[in-house]
Amino acid sequence: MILLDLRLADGSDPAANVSRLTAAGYRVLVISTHHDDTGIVATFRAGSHGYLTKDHDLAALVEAIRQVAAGETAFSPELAFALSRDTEQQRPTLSDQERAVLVAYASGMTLPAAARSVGVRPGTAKEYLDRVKAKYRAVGRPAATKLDLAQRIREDGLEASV
Amino acid sequence: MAEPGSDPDGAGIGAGVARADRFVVYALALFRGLQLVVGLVVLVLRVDQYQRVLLVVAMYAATAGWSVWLFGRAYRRGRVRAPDAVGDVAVIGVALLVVGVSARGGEAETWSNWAYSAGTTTTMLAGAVLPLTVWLACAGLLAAALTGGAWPGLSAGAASTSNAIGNAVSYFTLGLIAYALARYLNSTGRRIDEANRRMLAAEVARAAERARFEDRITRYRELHDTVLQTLTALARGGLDPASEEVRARCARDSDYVRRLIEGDVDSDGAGGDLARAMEQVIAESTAFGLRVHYRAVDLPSQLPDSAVAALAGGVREALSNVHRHAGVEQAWVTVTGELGGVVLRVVDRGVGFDPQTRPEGFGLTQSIRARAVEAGGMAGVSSSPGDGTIVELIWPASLPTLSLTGRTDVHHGDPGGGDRRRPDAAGGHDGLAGARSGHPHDRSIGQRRSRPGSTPGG
Repeated sequence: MILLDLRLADGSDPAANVSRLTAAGYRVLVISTHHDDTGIVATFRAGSHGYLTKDHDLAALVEAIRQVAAGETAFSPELAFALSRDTEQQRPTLSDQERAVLVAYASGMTLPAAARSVGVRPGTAKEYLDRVKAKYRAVGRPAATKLDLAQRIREDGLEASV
Repeated sequence: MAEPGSDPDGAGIGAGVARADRFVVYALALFRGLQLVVGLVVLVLRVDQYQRVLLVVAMYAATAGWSVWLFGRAYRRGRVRAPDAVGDVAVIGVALLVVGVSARGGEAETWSNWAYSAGTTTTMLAGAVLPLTVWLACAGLLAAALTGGAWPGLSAGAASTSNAIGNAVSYFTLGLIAYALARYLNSTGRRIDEANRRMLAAEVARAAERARFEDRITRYRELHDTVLQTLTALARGGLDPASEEVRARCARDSDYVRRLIEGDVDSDGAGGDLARAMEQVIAESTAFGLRVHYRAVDLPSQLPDSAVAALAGGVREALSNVHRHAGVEQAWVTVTGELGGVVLRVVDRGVGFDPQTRPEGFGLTQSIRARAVEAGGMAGVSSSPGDGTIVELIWPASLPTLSLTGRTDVHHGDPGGGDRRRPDAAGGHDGLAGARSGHPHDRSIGQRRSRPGSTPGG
């Protein structure tokens, strides 16, 4: 897995960097010194497996790395915040419950507290976050061919019925 | 006046140009008025010089009436319009003919011909208002009408030819003088307007610069008190950079620098008073050792002072509670502008409390709730033992937005958002005021009435 800084010295596009790395088979955890909501959303859509600001302590970083390496998503409050403020035209449609969990988590609550605040069980809240991720992935996935497009529509159809 | 026909009402022209236009109106109105008064005196005193007295008197009355209408209109508009100047040429042209042929002997070419003197105003008016060529044609018409009216006297040898030539030429010279004068006044007015505009722009820029300067001074002082102090202490040696205390201090300082950077990046210096007040509150909390993860986006720049004070004060109180009661040293503060309103959330991951058993205290009822409600907002709290606490402030109270502390009576239209549908399982954990007031379903600590049929939670 790769720990990738959002802003590289060469000024390259963060989302493009993530796309290239994930295409090469790496799992990417994006980190940055300060919040850049647009960049966070763009890299998440491009396939990153999480985001963390560098102001977290070492334990938090280690935990995030562990999560990403284990195939999970490092869903930080900063990432949730950026997603909850996403106003892009092509942003996915979130359900009320998904959005509520996202906003609660973005406000700094732990996942159990966010779940309690929204009135669901912690496991369900985590499912909602996973679903948010899946929806962003679906939006960010390029549809290169008609076959891809059909596949995407089929998947999105499935997703909507979840 | 320099651009006849354009912008007929003078709207949008600067004060300097408007004054130049107005001056032309006043001067020519005064001129025409005096000529008509003198003309009336001469007409009365030497009424015997006219052959068709009634016609001349009627012409005089018509000219006086027209003049009043013309300059009355010009006074209201602040300038003379080109069509009106041409109209004056027509009226006075007719008067010159009528009065000229009615005058006995050579009187048509003397000052007792009131139409001649009125004609001098006409040519000046045309010169001031009309393009050069049009004015030239008008002056030619006036001279022709004067000469035509005086022709009987001239051909009979009663009128002086040199008088006639001098009078005709005067229409051209006076008009030309008016033409030059009006343009000069106009360009001066424009220059004054331009200078005023530049001065105003410079003043605005100076004020902005002053505000930036003061802002910078404040920043420098804060940087001195935080980052510089820390770096200096480290540079001097004797501090263990690996120690918990020093690292915590470094983390707080880097948070400050981060906020500094993002404040400029996120809001372009906008966000108004709330942004500044929040900055202050966060800085204070940081000073007593709390690490605050602060995010603020899309803050409304126009908020009533009372709302800013209540919201920032509420956050201050909530952070102070975290410091005193939560048993943790971190807090999250998010401030988001939505639809002209604002939502503030203060979250900790501390020990929490059970609102059912511990409804009192925490400064919530007075400092947070009462002030928020008084300023037109609402406040809510949600907590459970071991799960941390969230204090939520929403302004205005009617803001259609997602509430994480159980506001149940407002539906919101937030794009992509949804109202919270809360299953009964979640009840009992939040709602400080609800517990206090004995109505468990009244979870919001703002004084909001639950709609009949809204989900009871407790």
